[in-house]
Amino acid sequence: MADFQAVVVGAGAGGPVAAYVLASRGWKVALLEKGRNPYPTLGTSRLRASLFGNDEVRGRRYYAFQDPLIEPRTFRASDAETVRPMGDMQGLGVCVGGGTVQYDGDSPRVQQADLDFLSRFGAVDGAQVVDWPLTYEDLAPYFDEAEKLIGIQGRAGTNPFEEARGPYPMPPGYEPKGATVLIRGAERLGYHPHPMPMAVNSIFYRGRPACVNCGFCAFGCPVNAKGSTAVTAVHDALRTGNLTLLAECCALRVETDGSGRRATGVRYVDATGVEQVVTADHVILAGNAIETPRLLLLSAGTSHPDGLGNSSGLVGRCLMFHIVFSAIGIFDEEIRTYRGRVVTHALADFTQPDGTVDWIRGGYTELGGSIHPVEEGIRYPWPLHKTLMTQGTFLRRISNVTMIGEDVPVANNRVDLDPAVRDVYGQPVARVTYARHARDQAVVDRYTPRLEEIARESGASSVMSFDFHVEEGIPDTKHILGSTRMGTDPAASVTDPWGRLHDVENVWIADGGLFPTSTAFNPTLAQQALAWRTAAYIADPGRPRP
Amino acid sequence: MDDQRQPPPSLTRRRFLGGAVTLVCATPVFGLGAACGDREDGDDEHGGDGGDAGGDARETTTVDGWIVPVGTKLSAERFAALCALMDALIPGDETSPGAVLARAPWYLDQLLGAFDAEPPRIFAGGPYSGRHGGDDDFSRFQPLTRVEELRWRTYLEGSRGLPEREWNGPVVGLLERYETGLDALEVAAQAAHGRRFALLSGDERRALLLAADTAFVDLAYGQAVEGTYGDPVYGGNFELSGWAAIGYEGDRQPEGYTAREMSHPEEG
Repeated sequence: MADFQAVVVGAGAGGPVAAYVLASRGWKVALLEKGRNPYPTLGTSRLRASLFGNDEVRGRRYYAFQDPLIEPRTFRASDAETVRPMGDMQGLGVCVGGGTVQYDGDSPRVQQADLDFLSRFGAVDGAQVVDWPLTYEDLAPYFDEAEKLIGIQGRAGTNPFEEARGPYPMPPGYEPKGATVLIRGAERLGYHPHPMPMAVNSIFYRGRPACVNCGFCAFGCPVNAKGSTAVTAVHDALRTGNLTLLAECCALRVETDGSGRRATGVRYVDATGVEQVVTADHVILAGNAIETPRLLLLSAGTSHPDGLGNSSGLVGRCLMFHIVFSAIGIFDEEIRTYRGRVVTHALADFTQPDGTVDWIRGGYTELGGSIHPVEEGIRYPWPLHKTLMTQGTFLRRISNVTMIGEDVPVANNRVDLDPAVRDVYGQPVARVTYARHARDQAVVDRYTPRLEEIARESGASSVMSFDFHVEEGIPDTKHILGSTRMGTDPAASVTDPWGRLHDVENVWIADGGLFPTSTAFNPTLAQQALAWRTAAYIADPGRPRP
Repeated sequence: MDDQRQPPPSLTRRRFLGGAVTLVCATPVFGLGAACGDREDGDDEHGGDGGDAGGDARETTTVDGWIVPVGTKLSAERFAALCALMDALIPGDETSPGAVLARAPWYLDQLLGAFDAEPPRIFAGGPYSGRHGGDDDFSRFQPLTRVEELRWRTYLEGSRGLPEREWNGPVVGLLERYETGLDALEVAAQAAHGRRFALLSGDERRALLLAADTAFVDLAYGQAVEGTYGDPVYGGNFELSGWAAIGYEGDRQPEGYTAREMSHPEEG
């Protein structure tokens, strides 16, 4: 008999949701997380503040974050290029809660149009665009449940372009000036800015306090006002008594039986450095769309020499990062965007046809953005430091208009194993190959002037554009998607529409790797809804229910 | 800042050599002493036996005109050169303190000696500093995980031929990187001016840095910035002088900001 009914690998956005769904239905579940647990009272009767603080230095030292010395990655823009270190580009939280610990909490729903790329917008040369194997209607009940569990604030009806929906669990919180100035300009231009749906408490909710607007969202919430999966899904799952949380435990490979068609458990290094195996009836992988394909490739065996679940040759392929780019407005008046949540408002106008014949779909557009002084200082060339820091332009006088653009899936954009570089556990690291498709560049070129126009109309005295693709030539967007895409055809996808590997009957994926296309919205809530749906199916394949 | 490719959060690291920027020249001998008064919040109260790398009890001496705490990880001469280096990167002037008054060199010294304390002084505690309510949790540093300890010992001390520290080959420790980098500046100072780096004028030092190994200058600049604007629990930002210099409030928990403070930031 196996140790557990299910073992989940990765306590980030999706894994804890799957663990919560199963544990709350009486399943005995283990949750493996390679990072630390910064929440000493997690799972106890009284959840208290975390170990996070308003402290930039800890962030610089990769506290609870992917540390490029512990876990390096390499990058190349094409197969012909020599790899270079990826540093902390695309780094996410490495701790209980994963990327949901340091994210802004932006939690919009993806829309039906996001799931129909091929049929609505047509094929794209050199890209593997497809339709999703499910509809918005399939996802909606899981969105409802995930929004309640995580605790999402927002106001239904304020985004005229979204599918009909019920009320949010919480009303929107306070608006910082960085948002209000841009709302002004956006409305004058006829756009429809609205409160960003966010995983941040605006009121006391499920035992967690309201946000006090300290502005250090990117460093982990000290008071648990942010609905990271740690203080929501993991905490609630622990309270059922059915979840065993194994923090500081790094998965090494998925173990299978001789046929390779059935997983038996997961081999991992525990907190003391000793190798262990946890056995389970089901294995749910939720590392993220770089780490999960890496683990599948590391799990190669005699019956599956190219990696687990990889008979299609698609494991790691069609990796997407979104295209994220900004117009940075510099204002004469004081803005101080570091006060309050990073982003509080958004607009979806650019996801809608604008009547032009050459329209290309743009993405959800955020209003706000912030920076703190250590990060600001380090970005400056030192000979200009004193002058620029004293002026305080970026600390006190900017606000940004940022588009989350949809990048198309390209088979050659992928994760595989680096032949030379190892992580601290002695395992080959992920090698990322990624180049921007011409269509994606067309989105940037088309919409950058629109974003700049919003900043100017809002009163910015000067406006600069910035593309998150140009950081050392490596995209740094934090939206890692697509590398284990789901679909109905085992030759053209890695998992079935429920997230199960086509090749292995009891291995499931519960992270952004499932996305067949990247969508025009921040992806976290969709990952959580998919994870919920997958777990519901595992629990009751005959009649999955939210 | 007209260049379309120059905004944060990704200013490129290109060197600015043009004359458009007026860099304020600071004299090497300047008043750390004036800033060495008693600190109001004794930071050892909750700090266990963590030593007093960032505290005030530390004795100091003067080397080449720079104030140097006794017992630094770098030799006193190299620490003086470090002060001269960080002062050139973030100079002080009559309107605001620079890296040296903010004790950024002390910040680096605390990092280099992080493992002299238990728990090591790598990750401050949480959630609060005590400056805006709550306890002073920051000074209760957090124990490291096995992997974090391996990482930080390797980074600070170097791999020293230990197989468990060489998962990607040999690593030169931070102390040695500073010793090598500072010694190279010493050689350059002697060659160009026949004097020690710590004794050069601000202009002379900055000119040498523009011609120096950029990897080392970037390393020191990063730590000068962290030491100037980071939380004082790490040994720098003395009396919050780094934040005061740029009109920044720093940490705010558990108080946070009111709706009025967000909507009317011009009121202070």
